[in-house]
Amino acid sequence: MDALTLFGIFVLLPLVGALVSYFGKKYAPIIAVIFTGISGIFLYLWYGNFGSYTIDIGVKLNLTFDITTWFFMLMMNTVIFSSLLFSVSSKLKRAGGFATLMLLGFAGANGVLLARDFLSLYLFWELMSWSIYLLVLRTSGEYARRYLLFGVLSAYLLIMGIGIIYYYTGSFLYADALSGAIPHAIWPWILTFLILGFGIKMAIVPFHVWAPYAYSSEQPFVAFLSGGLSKLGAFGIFMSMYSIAGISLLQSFGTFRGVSLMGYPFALLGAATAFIGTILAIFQDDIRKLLAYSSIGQLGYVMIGLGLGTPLAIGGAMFHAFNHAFFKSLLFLGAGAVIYRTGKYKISEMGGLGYRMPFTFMFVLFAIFALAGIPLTSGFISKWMLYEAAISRKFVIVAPLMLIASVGAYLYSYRILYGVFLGQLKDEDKNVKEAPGPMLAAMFILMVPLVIFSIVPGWILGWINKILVENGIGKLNYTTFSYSSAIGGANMAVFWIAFILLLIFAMLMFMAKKARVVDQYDNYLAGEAPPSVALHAAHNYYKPLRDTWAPLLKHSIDRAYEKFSKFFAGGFYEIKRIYTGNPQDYAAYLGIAFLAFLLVGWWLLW
Amino acid sequence: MKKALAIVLAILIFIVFALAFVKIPFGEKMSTYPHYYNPITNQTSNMSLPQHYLTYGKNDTGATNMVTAIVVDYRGFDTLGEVTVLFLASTGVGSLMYVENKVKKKVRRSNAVVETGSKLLFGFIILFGAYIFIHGHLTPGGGFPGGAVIASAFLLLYLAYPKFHAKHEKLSVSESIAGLTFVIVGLIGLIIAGYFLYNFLPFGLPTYLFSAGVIPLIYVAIGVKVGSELTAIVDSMMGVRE
Amino acid sequence: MIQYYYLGSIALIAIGMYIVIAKRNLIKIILGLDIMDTGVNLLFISIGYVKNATAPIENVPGPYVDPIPQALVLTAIVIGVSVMALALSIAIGIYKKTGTLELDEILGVKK
Repeated sequence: MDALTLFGIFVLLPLVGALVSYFGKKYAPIIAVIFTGISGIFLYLWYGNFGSYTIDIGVKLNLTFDITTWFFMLMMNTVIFSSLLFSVSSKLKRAGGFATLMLLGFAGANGVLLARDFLSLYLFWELMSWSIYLLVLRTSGEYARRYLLFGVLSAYLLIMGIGIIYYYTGSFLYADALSGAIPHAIWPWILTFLILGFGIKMAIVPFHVWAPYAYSSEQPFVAFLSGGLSKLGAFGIFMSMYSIAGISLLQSFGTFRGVSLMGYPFALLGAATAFIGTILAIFQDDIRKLLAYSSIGQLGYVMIGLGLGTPLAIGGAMFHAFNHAFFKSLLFLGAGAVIYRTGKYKISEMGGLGYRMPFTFMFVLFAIFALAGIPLTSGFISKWMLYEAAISRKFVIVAPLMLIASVGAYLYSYRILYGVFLGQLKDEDKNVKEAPGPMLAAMFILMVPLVIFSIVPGWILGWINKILVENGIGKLNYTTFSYSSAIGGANMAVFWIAFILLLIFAMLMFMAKKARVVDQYDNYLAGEAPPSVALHAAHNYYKPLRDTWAPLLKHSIDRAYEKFSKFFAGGFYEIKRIYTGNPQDYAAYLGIAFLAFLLVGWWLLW
Repeated sequence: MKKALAIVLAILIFIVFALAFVKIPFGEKMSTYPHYYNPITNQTSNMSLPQHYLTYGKNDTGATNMVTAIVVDYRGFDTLGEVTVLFLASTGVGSLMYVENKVKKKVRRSNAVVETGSKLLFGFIILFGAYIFIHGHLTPGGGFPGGAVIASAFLLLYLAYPKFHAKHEKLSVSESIAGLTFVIVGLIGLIIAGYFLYNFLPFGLPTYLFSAGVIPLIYVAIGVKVGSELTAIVDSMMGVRE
Repeated sequence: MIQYYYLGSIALIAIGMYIVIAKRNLIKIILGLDIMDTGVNLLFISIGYVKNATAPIENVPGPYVDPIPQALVLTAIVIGVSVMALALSIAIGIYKKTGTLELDEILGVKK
């Protein structure tokens, strides 16, 4: 395999696909699915063909294909394949443009993962960022503006970090950054800029305000955005902290209970993100915003793992990122299917859809188990690794916040389950059909890896172990079904065997005793017989919790941003009053400018 | 309020500007910068530009009036542009002052002294103006002042005879022919030697009328053109009176 | 010695600027532009003066005054004339359309 093949299959092929599918009109998603499928096949075939390449397309791009790249590309490719498959039957307006922009984003993401020098990283980062902006613009200009502000901020922070590195070393390659030309005291600045720049894409607090709005666009796109593209932020942070800087450089700034002092503030930031994201998700009524805040929270977990820096922590973070790609995309696709069939997106208006859309319910149920970290799923292993990493070093702030966030994750997951799928079916939804075939196929494709990796986590841990060893961080002790660490471990084989035994036991009990199904209306109604009564209480679901936590919820980062912008808008309005419309005033301005030039010239020459 | 600020601004500009200029000695010596750069032979002489023009002007162009030599020969192309600007101004004024319906106004005749005197003087003023632009390469003046004097002769007639009207068609014919002459002279120079406005007529002896090659021709053309243009401007502004 | 020519032409420029900014009548503003124009031309010519030198006409020997500013100003005066002509004809047009030459009233009518 040479550079041109690598670059061609992963970057040029999606670009060509973008161009072709623009003219596809109604069939554009199908064409796009084919293109992503082809690159997925090559990704599968090329496992193991790792190496570094250089390609010259007018500007020299340095590419690399190693295990980290392969790991993230696997996530990206699967998620976009499923999203495009989902969008085949989702009756989008101007489907050609949608497929084009998704493929452009995919090409950009692949380019970011393949890059070996900062120039190509930035080039493809911007390609991906702009395609996201255009995709959000398809739904609403105001949401797109909110995203654009933070997207541009992230690009500027990246440029600051890259610029400092270039200034000292004179080259853009990753490997040259450690060549010793950069003074030791500059590294915190570089790392801060780069981590914040990548972190904005991951929506860490306080830069998360764009996420709930951007995640309210078309759901197939949001599945790709949340499942795929936000992992690029995690990839970037991992690369800059451990691949470019290296763990010895990080620990040279001091350590705190075995964790580098450079990474610990970011772990705290991640803990705050997890906490705030989860708390805000509990009280949301719009299902898209709920999932958005949940994303913010889960990516906070990844940030904690990357900040802590021990092999267990980073392994947990990588595994959690991997799981999050699959279960969050599955959740967004499930929400998309529900919105497509019922046209509603508020949880309080839905109910009982589990009876009409059983398959969607099953997929969403499994994804929610993974999200909440129920011990049967792979989500449990990743969260358990992160907990062990925090507890084993006795971090008293990070660990409790993580645990509270985990309880919160269960709270909002249950809200989705009860509010949307369980409970009483509303009258207008009586004839809702199951989601169409391509959507179910897409969700199935996403669920299968989740189930497999719940039973056999050893595959993933094998890849992650290779990543850790290659970057000099350490190694994990794992076997096919379990892993072990200093304070314990988790063995999935035990869990699944226990689950199957209990399931058999419960089935036997269910079939042995005379169990009967209780009808919805078999309720005590005090002798009255109303035609239909609403017995489903999903509106303002967590009101007691909200009342208890009211003082905490008074502070809002959204409102802080709005006050900030209003302050500046007022100031600029005052400045606009220079333009009076009277030409003599403008002549006076010219005279004043002339005087200013004279004075400046005077000062310069004497 | 605005007047006070404007006075302050004007005084400040005066002070700052004057303090800057006071450092420049008045009339001490000719400027010594920039150095003359010959594009044909690609060498820079150590003479300053004014000095070069004054020393070699008579041999290069054959004219004795150095200002004319610069305006018409060394920088002849800029003069062509400037003649275009005047043409644009005249067209602009003509189009802005265009009146469709002619207004009949009652005007008073001037008295006999003014009428007779102006009839006498008209010829002499035209002669004087023509003298200025024909001798442009020998004496101070040239096409532009000469044309202005001719226009002032017509202005005298406008003031003396209220019903006087210069014929617009004849004015535009003379203006166009003069402009064309300028351009054709330049094109002939281009054909003969490869440079626009090349001085192709023989130089003759200095201080004689028929000397300096193509320069008197150009100045005559410019003089006629400027005179007719300024007259046309004056005519448009006077309005149309029957 | 005091450079009267410089001071005088700069005074003309300053006066012209004051008139343009502070006067209300349109014709006065145009005349202020003309005064500034004259001041600038005078400033240019007076830079080229050489003491005890004569006009740059070579039928008499001796040091000559700098001919280049004179050539530049020749053009500049003609352009000043054409700008004035256009400005005045526009002012006549404004008078015919709005019936007044005061700047405040013209702007008030336009709004």
